[in-house]
Amino acid sequence: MRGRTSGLLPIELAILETGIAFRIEGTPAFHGFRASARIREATESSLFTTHGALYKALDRLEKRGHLTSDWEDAEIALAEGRPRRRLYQVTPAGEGAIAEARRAAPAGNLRKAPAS
Amino acid sequence: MNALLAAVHGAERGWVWMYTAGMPAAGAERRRTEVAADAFDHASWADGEGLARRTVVTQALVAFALGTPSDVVWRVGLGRRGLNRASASEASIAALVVLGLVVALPVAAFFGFLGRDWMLESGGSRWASFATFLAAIAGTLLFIGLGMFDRRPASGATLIALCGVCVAISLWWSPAAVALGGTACVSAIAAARWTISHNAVDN
Repeated sequence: MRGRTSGLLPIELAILETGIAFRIEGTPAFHGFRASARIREATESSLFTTHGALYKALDRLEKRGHLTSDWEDAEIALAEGRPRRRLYQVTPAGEGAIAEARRAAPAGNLRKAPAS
Repeated sequence: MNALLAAVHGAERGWVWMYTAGMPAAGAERRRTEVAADAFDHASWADGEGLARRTVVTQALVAFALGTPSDVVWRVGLGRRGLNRASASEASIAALVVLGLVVALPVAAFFGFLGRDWMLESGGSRWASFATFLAAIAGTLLFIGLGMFDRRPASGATLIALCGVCVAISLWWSPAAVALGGTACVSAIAAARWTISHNAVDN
């Protein structure tokens, strides 16, 4: 597959690494915008990852078993007056995929995720 | 949240409703809710950061506009569940290219004739019709190129480079446009080569 680092597209790798970073910080569950904002910071981009690319990548990662997801408690969203968030977590398979990507490519070749 | 940002997010929600129409209800609702939550979080984040209104609106607009080709590819791909994964990917790209070309021809012709008539009535040259025709083609190439970039960066970059060529040709009299088109070409080709050299292996 084109553009992949050991089976992962750059944006997929960025999402998984972001998920691991959130876990280390003590909040393993993350939502789309949170991941997008973190990737934007990490890549020092002025743009956010596009929705088209972000949610497709999250969907692919979940189908491959690299992420699990669930809706947040509806009452929390209701109390805060906003739409419900879909919360994602990196699975052991996702961690394995990151490790494999790191083994497959030298550190310099692990590209930063594009904004689109 | 400012009115312009609300309008961009509203347009995006409308677009999501459009391209998820006809999908299984659970999948469609999930995508709509996720994008709605994302838009809300973006607006809240922008308020918290105290960003300039123009910056926030630009961010939302760019994220929306650049994501639409991916949305189309994703949606077309969902219609091909019966195919195996590789075939579905190929079919999605092929469908997008065909869709782009089918759209490109009437759009290009329309703007071409419109530009020609407008320029002739204004006493301008016939070159304008050709320029608008190329501009329509360039827009279509950009759309398809962005749609392909996620999975096929080399091919996507090539189409974006061709878009740059069209822009440069259609605005040949403007040194700035030629410089912009040339830079776009060189950047896209460099991006394609860089991608290929970094594990972008063709199927």
